[in-house]
Amino acid sequence: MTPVLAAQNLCVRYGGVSSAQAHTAVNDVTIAIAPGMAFGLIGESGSGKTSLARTLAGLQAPSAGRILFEGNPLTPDAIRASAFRRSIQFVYQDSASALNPRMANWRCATEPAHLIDGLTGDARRALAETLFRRLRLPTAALDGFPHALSGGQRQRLALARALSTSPRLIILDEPTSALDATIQAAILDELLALNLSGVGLLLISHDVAVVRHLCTDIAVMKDGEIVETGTAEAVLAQPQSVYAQELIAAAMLEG
Amino acid sequence: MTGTPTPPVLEIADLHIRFSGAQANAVEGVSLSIAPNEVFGLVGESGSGKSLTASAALRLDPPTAQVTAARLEVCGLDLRAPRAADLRAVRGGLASMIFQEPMTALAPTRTIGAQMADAALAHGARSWRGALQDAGGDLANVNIKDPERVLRSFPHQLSGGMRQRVLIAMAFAGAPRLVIADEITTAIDPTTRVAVLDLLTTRAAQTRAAILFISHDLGAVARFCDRVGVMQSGRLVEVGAARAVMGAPQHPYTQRLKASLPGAGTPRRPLLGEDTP
Repeated sequence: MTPVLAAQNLCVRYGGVSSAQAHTAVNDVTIAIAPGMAFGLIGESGSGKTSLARTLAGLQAPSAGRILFEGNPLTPDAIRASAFRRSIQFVYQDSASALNPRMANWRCATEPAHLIDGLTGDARRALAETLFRRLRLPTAALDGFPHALSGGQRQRLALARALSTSPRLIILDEPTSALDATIQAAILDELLALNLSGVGLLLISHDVAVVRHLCTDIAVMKDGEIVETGTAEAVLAQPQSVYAQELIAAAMLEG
Repeated sequence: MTGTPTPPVLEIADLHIRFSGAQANAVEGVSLSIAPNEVFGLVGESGSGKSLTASAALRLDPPTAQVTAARLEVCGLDLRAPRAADLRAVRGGLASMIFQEPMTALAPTRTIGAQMADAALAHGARSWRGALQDAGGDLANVNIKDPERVLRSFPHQLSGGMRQRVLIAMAFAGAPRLVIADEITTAIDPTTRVAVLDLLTTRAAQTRAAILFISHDLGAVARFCDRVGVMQSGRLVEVGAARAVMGAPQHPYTQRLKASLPGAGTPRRPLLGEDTP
Protein backbone atom coordinates (compact mmCIF):
# COMPACT_ATOMS: atom_id res chain seq x y z
CA MET A 1 0.00 0.00 0.00
CA THR A 2 1.28 3.46 -0.86
CA PRO A 3 2.30 5.30 2.32
CA VAL A 4 0.17 8.31 3.22
CA LEU A 5 3.32 10.23 4.02
CA ALA A 6 6.95 9.33 3.54
CA ALA A 7 10.23 11.14 4.09
CA GLN A 8 13.26 10.33 1.97
CA ASN A 9 16.69 11.43 3.19
CA LEU A 10 15.03 14.41 4.82
CA CYS A 11 17.20 17.15 6.38
CA VAL A 12 16.12 20.22 8.30
CA ARG A 13 18.73 22.84 9.13
CA TYR A 14 18.32 26.11 10.96
CA GLY A 15 20.22 29.38 10.93
CA GLY A 16 23.65 30.39 9.79
CA VAL A 17 24.66 31.57 6.33
CA SER A 18 27.53 29.12 6.22
CA SER A 19 27.15 25.43 6.83
CA ALA A 20 29.46 25.72 9.86
CA GLN A 21 26.97 27.92 11.70
CA ALA A 22 23.87 25.96 10.78
CA HIS A 23 22.23 23.58 13.22
CA THR A 24 21.01 20.31 11.78
CA ALA A 25 17.75 19.40 13.52
CA VAL A 26 16.82 16.51 11.23
CA ASN A 27 19.56 14.57 9.52
CA ASP A 28 18.94 12.17 6.63
CA VAL A 29 15.66 10.74 7.90
CA THR A 30 13.77 8.17 5.86
CA ILE A 31 10.42 6.91 7.15
CA ALA A 32 7.12 5.79 5.65
CA ILE A 33 3.73 6.00 7.32
CA ALA A 34 1.29 3.49 5.86
CA PRO A 35 -2.48 4.07 5.93
CA GLY A 36 -4.03 3.30 9.32
CA MET A 37 -0.72 3.09 11.18
CA ALA A 38 -0.31 4.57 14.62
CA PHE A 39 3.27 5.68 14.20
CA GLY A 40 5.12 6.81 17.34
CA LEU A 41 8.10 9.12 17.17
CA ILE A 42 9.98 9.09 20.46
CA GLY A 43 13.06 10.90 21.68
CA GLU A 44 14.12 13.54 24.17
CA SER A 45 13.81 17.31 23.92
CA GLY A 46 15.94 18.63 21.07
CA SER A 47 16.14 15.31 19.23
CA GLY A 48 14.36 16.77 16.20
CA LYS A 49 10.91 15.16 16.58
CA THR A 50 8.94 18.36 16.22
CA SER A 51 11.03 19.64 13.29
CA LEU A 52 10.47 16.36 11.49
CA ALA A 53 6.73 16.41 12.17
CA ARG A 54 6.30 20.04 11.11
CA THR A 55 8.19 19.38 7.91
CA LEU A 56 6.09 16.29 7.16
CA ALA A 57 2.97 18.39 7.71
CA GLY A 58 4.18 20.94 5.19
CA LEU A 59 4.46 23.63 7.86
CA GLN A 60 8.09 24.24 7.02
CA ALA A 61 10.30 23.41 4.06
CA PRO A 62 12.96 20.70 4.17
CA SER A 63 16.59 21.76 3.66
CA ALA A 64 17.30 18.59 1.69
CA GLY A 65 15.60 15.35 0.77
CA ARG A 66 11.93 15.05 -0.08
CA ILE A 67 8.50 14.21 1.23
CA LEU A 68 6.05 12.00 -0.63
CA PHE A 69 2.32 12.43 -0.10
CA GLU A 70 0.41 9.39 -1.36
CA GLY A 71 3.41 8.57 -3.50
CA ASN A 72 3.85 11.99 -5.11
CA PRO A 73 6.48 14.61 -4.20
CA LEU A 74 5.11 17.23 -1.82
CA THR A 75 5.78 20.37 -3.81
CA PRO A 76 4.73 23.84 -2.58
CA ASP A 77 1.73 23.59 -4.91
CA ALA A 78 0.81 20.19 -3.48
CA ILE A 79 0.95 21.62 0.06
CA ARG A 80 -1.54 24.34 -0.94
CA ALA A 81 -3.85 21.85 -2.66
CA SER A 82 -6.95 20.92 -0.70
CA ALA A 83 -6.27 17.17 -1.06
CA PHE A 84 -3.17 17.47 1.16
CA ARG A 85 -4.69 19.93 3.61
CA ARG A 86 -7.75 17.74 3.99
CA SER A 87 -5.76 14.53 4.43
CA ILE A 88 -3.11 15.65 6.90
CA GLN A 89 -4.13 17.43 10.08
CA PHE A 90 -2.01 18.65 13.01
CA VAL A 91 -2.80 18.77 16.75
CA TYR A 92 -0.55 20.76 19.07
CA GLN A 93 0.52 20.13 22.65
CA ASP A 94 -0.97 23.23 24.18
CA SER A 95 -4.48 23.58 22.84
CA ALA A 96 -5.08 26.58 25.10
CA SER A 97 -2.78 28.63 22.89
CA ALA A 98 -3.45 26.75 19.64
CA LEU A 99 -7.20 27.47 19.57
CA ASN A 100 -8.49 30.90 18.62
CA PRO A 101 -9.85 32.35 21.89
CA ARG A 102 -12.36 34.56 20.08
CA MET A 103 -13.94 31.85 17.94
CA ALA A 104 -16.97 29.94 19.26
CA ASN A 105 -16.25 26.27 19.85
CA TRP A 106 -18.52 25.00 17.08
CA ARG A 107 -16.87 27.29 14.50
CA CYS A 108 -13.46 26.34 15.79
CA ALA A 109 -14.23 22.63 15.45
CA THR A 110 -15.30 23.05 11.83
CA GLU A 111 -12.94 25.78 10.64
CA PRO A 112 -10.74 23.44 8.55
CA ALA A 113 -13.84 22.00 6.84
CA HIS A 114 -15.06 25.54 6.21
CA LEU A 115 -11.74 26.76 4.79
CA ILE A 116 -10.84 23.66 2.80
CA ASP A 117 -14.20 22.25 1.73
CA GLY A 118 -16.27 25.44 1.83
CA LEU A 119 -18.70 24.01 4.35
CA THR A 120 -21.15 26.68 5.62
CA GLY A 121 -24.51 27.25 7.28
CA ASP A 122 -26.58 24.35 8.59
CA ALA A 123 -24.22 21.74 7.17
CA ARG A 124 -21.33 23.27 9.12
CA ARG A 125 -23.38 23.39 12.31
CA ALA A 126 -24.51 19.78 11.80
CA LEU A 127 -20.88 18.67 11.37
CA ALA A 128 -19.97 20.47 14.61
CA GLU A 129 -22.71 18.60 16.44
CA THR A 130 -21.57 15.28 15.01
CA LEU A 131 -17.95 15.96 15.99
CA PHE A 132 -18.95 17.01 19.51
CA ARG A 133 -20.87 13.78 19.98
CA ARG A 134 -18.05 11.70 18.51
CA LEU A 135 -15.50 13.22 20.89
CA ARG A 136 -17.91 13.28 23.80
CA LEU A 137 -17.86 17.03 24.21
CA PRO A 138 -20.97 18.49 25.84
CA THR A 139 -23.22 19.91 23.12
CA ALA A 140 -24.02 22.71 25.59
CA ALA A 141 -20.48 23.94 24.88
CA LEU A 142 -21.08 24.35 21.12
CA ASP A 143 -21.68 28.08 21.43
CA GLY A 144 -19.15 28.64 24.22
CA PHE A 145 -15.49 29.59 23.88
CA PRO A 146 -12.32 27.56 24.46
CA HIS A 147 -11.34 29.36 27.68
CA ALA A 148 -14.38 27.95 29.47
CA LEU A 149 -13.39 24.36 28.63
CA SER A 150 -11.16 22.17 30.79
CA GLY A 151 -7.73 21.16 29.50
CA GLY A 152 -9.00 17.74 28.46
CA GLN A 153 -12.04 19.22 26.72
CA ARG A 154 -9.85 21.70 24.85
CA GLN A 155 -7.70 18.84 23.59
CA ARG A 156 -10.91 17.05 22.50
CA LEU A 157 -11.90 20.20 20.64
CA ALA A 158 -8.50 20.26 18.93
CA LEU A 159 -9.09 16.63 17.90
CA ALA A 160 -12.60 17.47 16.65
CA ARG A 161 -11.09 20.25 14.55
CA ALA A 162 -8.52 17.89 13.08
CA LEU A 163 -11.23 15.32 12.31
CA SER A 164 -13.51 17.84 10.61
CA THR A 165 -11.96 17.19 7.18
CA SER A 166 -11.99 13.36 7.60
CA PRO A 167 -8.18 13.20 7.40
CA ARG A 168 -6.17 10.11 6.57
CA LEU A 169 -3.48 11.04 9.09
CA ILE A 170 -3.42 13.22 12.18
CA ILE A 171 -0.03 14.42 13.38
CA LEU A 172 -0.05 14.97 17.14
CA ASP A 173 2.81 16.80 18.86
CA GLU A 174 2.88 15.78 22.53
CA PRO A 175 -0.93 15.86 22.69
CA THR A 176 -1.22 14.72 26.30
CA SER A 177 1.96 16.05 27.94
CA ALA A 178 0.15 18.96 29.57
CA LEU A 179 -2.68 16.83 30.94
CA ASP A 180 -3.20 15.04 34.25
CA ALA A 181 -2.97 11.25 34.33
CA THR A 182 -6.67 10.43 34.20
CA ILE A 183 -7.37 13.09 31.54
CA GLN A 184 -4.44 11.80 29.51
CA ALA A 185 -5.89 8.28 29.75
CA ALA A 186 -9.24 9.49 28.43
CA ILE A 187 -7.58 11.25 25.46
CA LEU A 188 -5.44 8.18 24.74
CA ASP A 189 -8.62 6.08 24.70
CA GLU A 190 -10.08 8.57 22.23
CA LEU A 191 -7.00 8.39 19.98
CA LEU A 192 -7.05 4.60 20.11
CA ALA A 193 -10.71 4.56 19.05
CA LEU A 194 -9.91 6.91 16.16
CA ASN A 195 -7.03 4.72 15.02
CA LEU A 196 -9.11 1.55 15.28
CA SER A 197 -11.71 3.27 13.09
CA GLY A 198 -9.02 3.74 10.43
CA VAL A 199 -7.57 7.21 11.05
CA GLY A 200 -3.77 7.14 10.85
CA LEU A 201 -1.79 8.75 13.68
CA LEU A 202 1.72 10.15 13.87
CA LEU A 203 2.27 10.60 17.59
CA ILE A 204 5.25 12.60 18.79
CA SER A 205 6.08 12.00 22.40
CA HIS A 206 8.93 11.78 24.88
CA ASP A 207 6.79 9.39 26.90
CA VAL A 208 7.68 5.81 25.98
CA ALA A 209 4.72 4.47 27.98
CA VAL A 210 2.25 6.52 25.93
CA VAL A 211 3.82 5.40 22.65
CA ARG A 212 3.96 1.79 23.80
CA HIS A 213 0.29 1.94 24.66
CA LEU A 214 -0.97 3.49 21.46
CA CYS A 215 1.38 2.78 18.59
CA THR A 216 1.73 -0.01 16.06
CA ASP A 217 5.09 1.27 14.80
CA ILE A 218 7.87 3.26 16.42
CA ALA A 219 10.86 5.33 15.41
CA VAL A 220 13.40 6.48 18.00
CA MET A 221 15.11 9.81 17.30
CA LYS A 222 18.36 11.09 18.73
CA ASP A 223 20.32 14.15 17.63
CA GLY A 224 18.24 14.49 14.48
CA GLU A 225 18.63 10.91 13.32
CA ILE A 226 16.39 7.87 13.48
CA VAL A 227 18.47 5.45 15.53
CA GLU A 228 15.90 2.68 15.49
CA THR A 229 12.61 1.90 13.82
CA GLY A 230 10.24 -1.04 13.48
CA THR A 231 7.01 -2.44 14.84
CA ALA A 232 6.24 -1.29 18.38
CA GLU A 233 6.52 -4.83 19.65
CA ALA A 234 9.97 -5.41 18.14
CA VAL A 235 11.47 -2.06 19.14
CA LEU A 236 10.20 -2.22 22.71
CA ALA A 237 10.96 -5.88 23.33
CA GLN A 238 14.43 -5.91 21.78
CA PRO A 239 15.81 -2.44 21.19
CA GLN A 240 19.02 -2.71 19.17
CA SER A 241 20.58 0.70 19.75
CA VAL A 242 22.11 1.63 23.10
CA TYR A 243 20.11 4.85 23.17
CA ALA A 244 16.76 3.12 22.66
CA GLN A 245 17.69 0.64 25.38
CA GLU A 246 18.40 3.50 27.82
CA LEU A 247 15.22 5.35 26.91
CA ILE A 248 13.05 2.28 27.30
CA ALA A 249 14.72 1.22 30.55
CA ALA A 250 14.12 4.70 31.99
CA ALA A 251 10.47 4.52 31.00
CA MET A 252 9.85 1.05 32.32
CA LEU A 253 10.08 2.57 35.79
CA GLU A 254 6.31 2.72 35.54
CA GLY A 255 5.86 -1.01 35.02
CA MET B 1 9.55 4.01 60.35
CA THR B 2 6.64 3.91 62.76
CA GLY B 3 7.48 3.21 66.38
CA THR B 4 10.76 5.15 66.34
CA PRO B 5 11.17 7.34 69.43
CA THR B 6 12.43 10.36 67.46
CA PRO B 7 9.73 12.99 66.81
CA PRO B 8 8.45 13.40 63.27
CA VAL B 9 10.15 15.98 61.05
CA LEU B 10 6.75 17.07 59.78
CA GLU B 11 3.51 16.79 61.69
CA ILE B 12 0.32 18.07 60.13
CA ALA B 13 -3.07 17.51 61.72
CA ASP B 14 -6.43 18.61 60.35
CA LEU B 15 -4.99 21.18 57.96
CA HIS B 16 -7.49 23.42 56.20
CA ILE B 17 -6.55 25.99 53.59
CA ARG B 18 -9.12 28.25 52.05
CA PHE B 19 -9.12 31.28 49.84
CA SER B 20 -11.59 34.02 50.62
CA GLY B 21 -14.44 34.00 48.16
CA ALA B 22 -13.80 30.40 47.09
CA GLN B 23 -16.67 27.93 47.26
CA ALA B 24 -14.71 25.06 48.78
CA ASN B 25 -11.59 24.65 50.86
CA ALA B 26 -8.46 24.11 48.75
CA VAL B 27 -7.16 21.74 51.45
CA GLU B 28 -9.70 19.95 53.60
CA GLY B 29 -8.69 18.28 56.85
CA VAL B 30 -5.33 16.83 55.79
CA SER B 31 -3.31 15.00 58.44
CA LEU B 32 0.07 13.49 57.81
CA SER B 33 3.27 12.77 59.64
CA ILE B 34 6.73 12.21 58.19
CA ALA B 35 9.39 10.39 60.21
CA PRO B 36 13.13 11.15 60.05
CA ASN B 37 14.73 9.65 56.95
CA GLU B 38 11.37 8.69 55.50
CA VAL B 39 10.54 9.27 51.83
CA PHE B 40 6.89 10.25 51.65
CA GLY B 41 5.19 10.64 48.27
CA LEU B 42 2.21 12.89 47.78
CA VAL B 43 0.34 12.24 44.54
CA GLY B 44 -2.78 13.68 42.96
CA GLU B 45 -3.77 15.78 39.98
CA SER B 46 -3.41 19.51 39.37
CA GLY B 47 -5.51 21.41 41.87
CA SER B 48 -5.80 18.51 44.30
CA GLY B 49 -4.00 20.56 46.97
CA LYS B 50 -0.72 18.67 47.18
CA SER B 51 1.57 21.63 46.46
CA LEU B 52 -0.48 23.86 48.74
CA THR B 53 -0.17 21.36 51.58
CA ALA B 54 3.60 21.22 51.09
CA SER B 55 3.97 24.97 50.88
CA ALA B 56 2.11 25.31 54.18
CA ALA B 57 4.82 23.17 55.79
CA LEU B 58 7.32 25.98 55.12
CA ARG B 59 4.64 28.62 55.48
CA LEU B 60 5.17 29.56 51.86
CA ASP B 61 1.43 29.49 51.36
CA PRO B 62 0.11 32.46 49.35
CA PRO B 63 -0.77 35.57 51.40
CA THR B 64 -4.43 35.28 50.40
CA ALA B 65 -4.70 31.76 51.83
CA GLN B 66 -6.26 31.20 55.24
CA VAL B 67 -4.43 28.36 56.96
CA THR B 68 -5.82 26.61 60.02
CA ALA B 69 -4.60 23.37 61.58
CA ALA B 70 -4.71 21.43 64.81
CA ARG B 71 -0.98 20.86 64.38
CA LEU B 72 1.54 22.23 61.89
CA GLU B 73 5.05 21.46 63.09
CA VAL B 74 8.49 21.05 61.53
CA CYS B 75 10.88 19.27 63.93
CA GLY B 76 8.64 20.28 66.82
CA LEU B 77 8.47 23.99 65.92
CA ASP B 78 4.86 25.18 65.81
CA LEU B 79 4.29 27.09 62.57
CA ARG B 80 0.61 27.93 62.98
CA ALA B 81 1.36 31.50 64.08
CA PRO B 82 5.10 31.39 63.50
CA ARG B 83 7.69 33.68 65.07
CA ALA B 84 10.09 35.18 62.51
CA ALA B 85 13.00 33.37 64.16
CA ASP B 86 11.26 30.00 63.82
CA LEU B 87 10.53 30.65 60.16
CA ARG B 88 14.20 31.48 59.57
CA ALA B 89 15.22 28.30 61.36
CA VAL B 90 12.86 26.22 59.24
CA ARG B 91 13.28 27.72 55.77
CA GLY B 92 16.61 26.66 54.31
CA GLY B 93 17.67 25.29 57.70
CA LEU B 94 15.56 22.47 59.11
CA ALA B 95 13.62 22.20 55.87
CA SER B 96 14.27 23.12 52.26
CA MET B 97 12.38 23.01 49.02
CA ILE B 98 13.25 22.03 45.45
CA PHE B 99 10.95 23.50 42.85
CA GLN B 100 9.68 22.09 39.57
CA GLU B 101 11.21 24.55 37.14
CA PRO B 102 14.94 24.97 37.83
CA MET B 103 15.21 27.86 35.39
CA THR B 104 12.86 30.05 37.39
CA ALA B 105 14.07 28.83 40.78
CA LEU B 106 17.58 30.14 40.05
CA ALA B 107 18.37 33.83 39.63
CA PRO B 108 19.26 34.32 35.96
CA THR B 109 21.80 37.14 36.43
CA ARG B 110 24.00 35.63 39.13
CA THR B 111 26.44 32.75 39.03
CA ILE B 112 25.60 29.46 40.73
CA GLY B 113 28.47 30.03 43.18
CA ALA B 114 27.20 33.47 44.21
CA GLN B 115 23.69 32.15 44.78
CA MET B 116 24.93 29.22 46.85
CA ALA B 117 27.28 31.37 48.93
CA ASP B 118 24.50 33.88 49.61
CA ALA B 119 22.30 31.15 51.02
CA ALA B 120 25.14 29.81 53.16
CA LEU B 121 25.89 33.28 54.59
CA ALA B 122 22.22 33.73 55.45
CA HIS B 123 22.44 30.50 57.42
CA GLY B 124 25.55 31.31 59.43
CA ALA B 125 28.56 30.76 57.16
CA ARG B 126 31.47 32.94 58.33
CA SER B 127 33.07 34.05 55.07
CA TRP B 128 32.27 34.28 51.38
CA ARG B 129 35.41 32.38 50.48
CA GLY B 130 34.55 29.57 52.88
CA ALA B 131 30.97 29.51 51.67
CA LEU B 132 32.11 29.20 48.06
CA GLN B 133 34.45 26.38 49.00
CA ASP B 134 31.61 24.56 50.76
CA ALA B 135 29.39 25.14 47.73
CA GLY B 136 32.00 23.40 45.57
CA GLY B 137 31.84 20.43 47.94
CA ASP B 138 28.04 20.43 47.83
CA LEU B 139 28.15 20.32 44.03
CA ALA B 140 30.65 17.46 44.12
CA ASN B 141 28.22 15.61 46.40
CA VAL B 142 25.57 15.65 43.69
CA ASN B 143 27.97 14.03 41.21
CA ILE B 144 28.91 17.22 39.39
CA LYS B 145 32.31 16.41 37.98
CA ASP B 146 33.66 19.93 37.52
CA PRO B 147 32.23 21.96 40.42
CA GLU B 148 34.64 24.85 39.79
CA ARG B 149 33.21 25.48 36.33
CA VAL B 150 29.60 25.15 37.53
CA LEU B 151 30.22 27.63 40.38
CA ARG B 152 31.32 30.20 37.78
CA SER B 153 28.39 29.40 35.45
CA PHE B 154 25.13 31.23 35.04
CA PRO B 155 21.95 29.11 35.10
CA HIS B 156 21.36 29.45 31.33
CA GLN B 157 24.75 27.89 30.66
CA LEU B 158 23.69 24.61 32.28
CA SER B 159 21.41 21.86 30.99
CA GLY B 160 18.06 21.19 32.65
CA GLY B 161 19.33 18.09 34.42
CA MET B 162 22.42 19.98 35.63
CA ARG B 163 20.30 22.85 36.96
CA GLN B 164 18.15 20.36 38.84
CA ARG B 165 21.34 18.86 40.35
CA VAL B 166 22.38 22.35 41.47
CA LEU B 167 19.01 22.83 43.16
CA ILE B 168 19.39 19.48 44.91
CA ALA B 169 22.86 20.53 46.09
CA MET B 170 21.42 23.82 47.40
CA ALA B 171 18.54 22.03 49.11
CA PHE B 172 20.95 19.81 51.03
CA ALA B 173 23.53 22.54 51.75
CA GLY B 174 21.97 23.53 55.09
CA ALA B 175 21.86 19.91 56.34
CA PRO B 176 18.03 19.92 56.42
CA ARG B 177 15.93 17.33 58.23
CA LEU B 178 13.20 17.63 55.60
CA VAL B 179 13.49 18.26 51.87
CA ILE B 180 10.33 19.04 49.94
CA ALA B 181 10.63 18.14 46.25
CA ASP B 182 7.76 19.57 44.21
CA GLU B 183 7.40 17.90 40.78
CA ILE B 184 11.15 18.09 40.25
CA THR B 185 11.30 15.76 37.25
CA THR B 186 8.38 17.11 35.26
CA ALA B 187 10.53 19.48 33.21
CA ILE B 188 13.38 17.09 32.45
CA ASP B 189 13.92 14.26 30.00
CA PRO B 190 13.16 10.64 30.96
CA THR B 191 16.72 9.32 30.95
CA THR B 192 17.85 12.21 33.17
CA ARG B 193 14.81 11.76 35.41
CA VAL B 194 15.94 8.45 36.91
CA ALA B 195 19.41 9.83 37.62
CA VAL B 196 17.95 12.89 39.36
CA LEU B 197 15.61 10.78 41.50
CA ASP B 198 18.40 8.37 42.37
CA LEU B 199 20.52 11.31 43.42
CA LEU B 200 17.78 12.87 45.54
CA THR B 201 17.07 9.70 47.48
CA THR B 202 20.78 8.85 47.84
CA ARG B 203 21.57 12.30 49.27
CA ALA B 204 18.63 11.95 51.66
CA ALA B 205 19.84 8.54 52.82
CA GLN B 206 23.42 9.85 53.27
CA THR B 207 22.29 12.83 55.34
CA ARG B 208 19.38 11.04 57.06
CA ALA B 209 16.99 13.69 55.77
CA ALA B 210 13.32 12.97 55.12
CA ILE B 211 11.72 13.77 51.77
CA LEU B 212 8.25 14.98 50.96
CA PHE B 213 8.06 14.02 47.29
CA ILE B 214 5.23 15.67 45.39
CA SER B 215 4.55 14.13 42.03
CA HIS B 216 1.99 12.93 39.57
CA ASP B 217 4.51 10.35 38.38
CA LEU B 218 3.12 7.22 40.03
CA GLY B 219 5.94 5.03 38.72
CA ALA B 220 8.56 7.18 40.41
CA VAL B 221 6.56 7.26 43.63
CA ALA B 222 6.21 3.48 43.71
CA ARG B 223 9.93 3.05 43.16
CA PHE B 224 11.39 5.74 45.40
CA CYS B 225 8.95 6.29 48.27
CA ASP B 226 8.43 4.45 51.56
CA ARG B 227 4.90 5.70 52.05
CA VAL B 228 2.49 7.52 49.81
CA GLY B 229 -0.54 9.74 50.29
CA VAL B 230 -3.11 10.27 47.54
CA MET B 231 -4.90 13.60 47.34
CA GLN B 232 -8.13 14.39 45.53
CA SER B 233 -10.03 17.67 45.71
CA GLY B 234 -8.17 18.86 48.80
CA ARG B 235 -8.56 15.64 50.76
CA LEU B 236 -6.10 12.90 51.55
CA VAL B 237 -8.09 9.91 50.33
CA GLU B 238 -5.55 7.14 50.87
CA VAL B 239 -2.29 6.73 52.81
CA GLY B 240 -0.10 3.68 53.18
CA ALA B 241 3.10 1.88 52.26
CA ALA B 242 3.97 2.91 48.70
CA ARG B 243 4.17 -0.65 47.44
CA ALA B 244 0.78 -1.54 48.96
CA VAL B 245 -1.03 1.58 47.76
CA MET B 246 0.39 1.35 44.24
CA GLY B 247 0.10 -2.43 44.09
CA ALA B 248 -3.44 -2.76 45.39
CA PRO B 249 -5.09 0.65 45.73
CA GLN B 250 -8.18 0.71 47.96
CA HIS B 251 -9.76 4.06 47.18
CA PRO B 252 -11.67 4.30 43.86
CA TYR B 253 -9.75 7.44 42.92
CA THR B 254 -6.37 5.76 43.44
CA GLN B 255 -7.60 2.81 41.39
CA ARG B 256 -8.59 5.16 38.59
CA LEU B 257 -5.23 6.92 38.80
CA LYS B 258 -3.43 3.60 38.53
CA ALA B 259 -5.59 2.44 35.62
CA SER B 260 -4.68 5.67 33.82
CA LEU B 261 -1.02 4.69 33.55
CA PRO B 262 -0.43 3.80 29.91
CA GLY B 263 2.71 1.77 30.68
CA ALA B 264 1.06 -0.88 32.81
CA GLY B 265 -1.83 -2.27 30.78
CA THR B 266 -2.15 -4.19 27.54
CA PRO B 267 -1.16 -2.05 24.55
CA ARG B 268 -4.03 -0.83 22.38
CA ARG B 269 -6.79 -1.58 24.87
CA PRO B 270 -8.81 1.30 26.37
CA LEU B 271 -7.35 2.43 29.71
CA LEU B 272 -10.58 3.67 31.22
CA GLY B 273 -14.08 2.35 30.70
CA GLU B 274 -16.45 3.62 28.05
CA ASP B 275 -18.16 5.76 30.69
CA THR B 276 -15.30 8.26 30.80
CA PRO B 277 -16.49 11.84 30.62
